[in-house]
Amino acid sequence: MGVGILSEIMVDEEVENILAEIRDRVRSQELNASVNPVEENEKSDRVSLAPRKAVEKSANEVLARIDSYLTVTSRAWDRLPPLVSNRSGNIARIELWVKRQIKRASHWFTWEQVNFNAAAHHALRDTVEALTNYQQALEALRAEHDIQRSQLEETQVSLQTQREELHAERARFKAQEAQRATQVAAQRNEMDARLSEITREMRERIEHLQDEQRVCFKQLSLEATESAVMEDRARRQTEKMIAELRARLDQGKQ
Amino acid sequence: MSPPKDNLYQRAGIDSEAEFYRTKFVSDEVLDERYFKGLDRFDIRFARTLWVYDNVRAGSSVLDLGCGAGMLALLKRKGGTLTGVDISDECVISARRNGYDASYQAKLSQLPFPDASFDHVVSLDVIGHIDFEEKDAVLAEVKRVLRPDGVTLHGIECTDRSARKNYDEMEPEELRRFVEIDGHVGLEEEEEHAARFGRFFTNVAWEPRYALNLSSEEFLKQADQYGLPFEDDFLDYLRGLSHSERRAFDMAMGYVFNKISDLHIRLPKSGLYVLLKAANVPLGPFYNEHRDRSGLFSPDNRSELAGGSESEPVCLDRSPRVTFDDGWYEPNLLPPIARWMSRAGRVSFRSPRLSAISLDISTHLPDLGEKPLGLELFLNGTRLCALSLFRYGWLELRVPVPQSVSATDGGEFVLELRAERTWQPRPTKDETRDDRELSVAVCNIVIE
Repeated sequence: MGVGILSEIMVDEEVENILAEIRDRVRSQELNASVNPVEENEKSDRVSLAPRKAVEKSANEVLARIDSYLTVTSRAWDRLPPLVSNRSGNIARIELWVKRQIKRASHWFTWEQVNFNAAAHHALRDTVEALTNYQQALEALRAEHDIQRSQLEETQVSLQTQREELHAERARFKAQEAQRATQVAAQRNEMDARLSEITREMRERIEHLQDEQRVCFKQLSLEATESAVMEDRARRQTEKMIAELRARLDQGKQ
Repeated sequence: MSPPKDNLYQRAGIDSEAEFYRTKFVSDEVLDERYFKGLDRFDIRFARTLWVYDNVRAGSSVLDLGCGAGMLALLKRKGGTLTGVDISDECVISARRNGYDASYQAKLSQLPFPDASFDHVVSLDVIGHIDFEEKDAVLAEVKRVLRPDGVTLHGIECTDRSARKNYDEMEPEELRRFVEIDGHVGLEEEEEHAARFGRFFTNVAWEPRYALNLSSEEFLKQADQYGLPFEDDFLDYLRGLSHSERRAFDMAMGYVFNKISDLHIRLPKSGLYVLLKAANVPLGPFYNEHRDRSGLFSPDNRSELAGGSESEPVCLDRSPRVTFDDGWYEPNLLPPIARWMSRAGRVSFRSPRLSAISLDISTHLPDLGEKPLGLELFLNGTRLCALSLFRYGWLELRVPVPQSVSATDGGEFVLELRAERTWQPRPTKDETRDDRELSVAVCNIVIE
């Protein structure tokens, strides 16, 4: 029995030491955290999630601390007075017996304190649970927000890429338009040159044709003249023959 | 040779005979008698024409059966009327352009003339193109339109059955190739032609010809397309001849052809060609029955040039009294009708007066743009002018004749045109080869 009491006393001391260490560490971290967010923000805008993560981390640690505190209340809420002794042997037994008597004697006014402790302990336990739930919900929302944010960022990147592509396309169209304008101008020049050439060729051909027609008409005119001469000659010959025949007939009549 | 049952043209894949003959025999060749050069009477190309010319009575009416482009236009030089008939309407137009008095498109077995319309019915290279089934109908028509005392004259392609296959023996492709060459669907041997005419006319005379004399072109055609066996080195020699050498060859061949006729030497059968005369009256001599070649040329050049009054200009192009020497090629329808000249050409004529000469000149010289063509005009050896052609088209040239030159005794003139260079239109050895040495084309040579 005496060893069991001693061990309980030692466990309580260890727990208190652990809690004291946690408390010191959290304090030092809180001190750093109170300085870091500003520094972090100043350091880089790109790391926009760092303060938020620090807050998350801080909240989780606070909840952990509260949880660790609640181990004390869960353990000590009904110890009024605590039935422990730092003595040993019979003295310890006497002391514990006295304390037990006192506990029994003082029950009439400690039981309300015990009730209060129990209520406070359970209220805190429920609060921690609620806070934990809120924290988890908040983390889920944050995760969703992160996803949406990353999607938004991706959309922005995509839009930026599209914008750059559109710019490039526009530049390409402009270059093509300029090239086409040059080509059209060159083709127009070429067509103008060809048209002038065709016009010149047509003019030459017309001149040649007129030339040829002139010579053909001259040939026809000369042929017509020849035919007229031949006809005239034949007519005169025929008239001469008729005259001769007439003369012969006259001679015959005479 | 037994006539085949169906139409050989159809068997040879020729649907339209008129179209076939249009593509074969219509050309821009000038056969108008007014442009005939006297020297060409020796050209073997005109040998058959001259045989007809020497056997047609002056002033007679002649029907040219299957007139083509008008190979018998020269008959106009004997006076009379010359009528043509052909199955191709374009041949009809071509014949009229070459001086035929009239020409008609008709089937030869349905002639559009009344009975006894002509003193002579003549054909050259036609009877061999008539299908066997139609031949008798054609000869019946010839007899119908011929006057009772008329004489019909024919130059007919023949075959040698011992050397050539019958039409019935030919494979379809072989037949197609054979007919495609010239359209020969009615070739018979000489005696068979004579016998066929004998059924319609009481008197028939015939002479195998072209056994010895062919034009250089015909030698090559007979060898290359009909497979006649001539010596290879001879054919190679003919292929290598230039235009002027071919002309010399053809002139020599034509000269010998005429001499054979004049001497009435009967040649052996050749299976190539027969000249045939037929009539229902007694026939005269086979050759030169009505020979009078005064119309072809003027030996003494003393005849008056066409052009009546003193003041009237005279055109030398078409006058039979004017001699164009061999420096001029045969006229071409450019248009107009003009003569191409080689490096130099002379025109001989007589005229009581000469104060100016005008002419139209053109050239197709390819490098005219780079280098003008120098020309000189001489009259009786005196240079009248020198000029350069530097553009295409026709140049009208009028040159006054100095009194010192025009007062030549006797009024005999030789007009000479000289060009400093020539070109050959198509000198390469293909089907359209034309290696004539051309300088300028000249027409409308008018003296005032």
